Amino acid sequence: MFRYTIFRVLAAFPTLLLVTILVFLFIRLVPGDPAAVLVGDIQNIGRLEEIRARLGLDRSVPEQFVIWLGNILQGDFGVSILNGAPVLDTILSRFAVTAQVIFVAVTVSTLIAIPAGMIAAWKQNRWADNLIVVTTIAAMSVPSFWIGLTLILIFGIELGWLPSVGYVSPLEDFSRGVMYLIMPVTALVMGEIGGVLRMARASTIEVMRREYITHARSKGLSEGVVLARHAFPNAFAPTLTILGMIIGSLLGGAAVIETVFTLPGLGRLTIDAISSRDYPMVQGILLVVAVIYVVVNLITDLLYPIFDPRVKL
Amino acid sequence: MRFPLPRFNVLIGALLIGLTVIAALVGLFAPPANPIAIDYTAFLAPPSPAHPFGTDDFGRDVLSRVLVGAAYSLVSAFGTVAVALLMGGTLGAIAGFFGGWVDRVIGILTDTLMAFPGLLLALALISIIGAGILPMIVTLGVSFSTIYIRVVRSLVLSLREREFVEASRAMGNSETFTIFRHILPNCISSIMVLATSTLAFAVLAESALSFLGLGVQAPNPSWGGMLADGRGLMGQAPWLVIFPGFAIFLALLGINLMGDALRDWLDPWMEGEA
Repeated sequence: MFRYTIFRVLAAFPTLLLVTILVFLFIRLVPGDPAAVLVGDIQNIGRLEEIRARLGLDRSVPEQFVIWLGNILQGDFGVSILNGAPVLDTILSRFAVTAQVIFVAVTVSTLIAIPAGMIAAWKQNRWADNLIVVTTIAAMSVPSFWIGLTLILIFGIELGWLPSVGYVSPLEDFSRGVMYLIMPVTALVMGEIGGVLRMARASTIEVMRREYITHARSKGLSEGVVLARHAFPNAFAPTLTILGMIIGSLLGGAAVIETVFTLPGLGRLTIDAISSRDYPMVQGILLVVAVIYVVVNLITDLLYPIFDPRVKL
Repeated sequence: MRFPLPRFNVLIGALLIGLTVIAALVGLFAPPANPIAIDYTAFLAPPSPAHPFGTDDFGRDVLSRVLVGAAYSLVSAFGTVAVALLMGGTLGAIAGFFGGWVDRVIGILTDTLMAFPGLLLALALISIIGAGILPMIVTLGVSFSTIYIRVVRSLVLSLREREFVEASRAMGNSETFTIFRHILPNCISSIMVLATSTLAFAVLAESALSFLGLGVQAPNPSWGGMLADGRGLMGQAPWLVIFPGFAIFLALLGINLMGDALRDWLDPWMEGEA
């Protein structure tokens, strides 16, 4: 267990280094002088010279990378072209909003999808299973942003039960904050639950064929105990991997749902940064999201042996 | 009660895909009205015999826009899968067939690209090369190619050592002949399964990017773009978001139903699973 942990943590470092190299090269792919790209205003000779000196743009590219990485490691991601705010501060404050929505959405999806997937597998090919399979395929076919718009149309505009757009932090005003989160979270859950359900069902079907399930049943254990004690722990491990991937796709896809509900999250920041050519911001977001994603995958890998003790190194 | 769900699913899936293709063809060659012609006399008209899906805030016929949107959606989705397949398939085959340092370099590149989740890689590339349908196809294709690299590599790797490949070599056939005659045909069923599932992701990604204004550019109609435009007016004109949304849903449902059926038939790894 200990060796597995150390090995997995160390194995993440080369990936992280390559990610930083790729993000560093990203600015060089933009046509034009990197200093001009980062300042955004070629008239501002003073800022241009300052950026050139600070990033060592007169030196060789590998030296530039070392200087840049040094700045990054000290938390200096540069400043936004748009408003001069430090890139890292902006990203972190916006990420807090996205993280809340993703966390709640993934938790709710898991709590619904895993029991439902297990029931489907248990009643394989019966009407309950057919119903869940059809729902899964339907859920995988609805874009979350269309669900979001439909929810706004029904609950925001027609019925007026929930605020349509905007955001209040649940940390400041819990009940109001929750009201603003209900629709975005519902849209995300309906958009992402299909993948988890399908995986939970497939891995439970796989497990239910094993001999130890037959053995547990022939011991006279009730079906509930067989499912909870023997099927669930074994079927959960593969589903965990899907959850990691879904967190990633939500990090990348948050832009759409945050646009629908005008949430001040990381996704909205990404779109604004792209449309206003705020390259320091785009670069910072790429780096932060990739690092978060690598860490999430690392955590799911580290949790894996807890659920599936056969995985050892 | 047992119900032949899979066969029923294939039927519905084929119907929906057929419907989308017909919609695209009608939209391209015989739209009921010009999808980009502005007509202020028919401003935000509700559904009627003249405009079955209503009109938008420029008086444009929503039905025609949904039909042409199907064409844009299918072209971008198939284009994306083609780019991903061409790039991923080639790199994956090279990595699997030659192994060694070539394999390692391609593997590291794939792992690094995979560290950028979901749409983020496509968004970053679009920020450099600009918005539009062609950049979208290329960037989505590059983002989706990583999965093809992995799958094709592992397929080629496992086939390379099989008896019939060795037999082909032993018979004195050239490497190229062996690849095209014996290795590729055995990859096709798995690649078909993968391609159908990426087709669904591509339709979804196209609608998302067009919704964000980074895909198909106005005034050309796309389902995602129509949802974005209709968003502010949907209180008074709900048909602006209902019809394009249903179009995305039905197209995706068709592809997903078909994909599931294909997986059951063709994917050797899922054998025996319902």
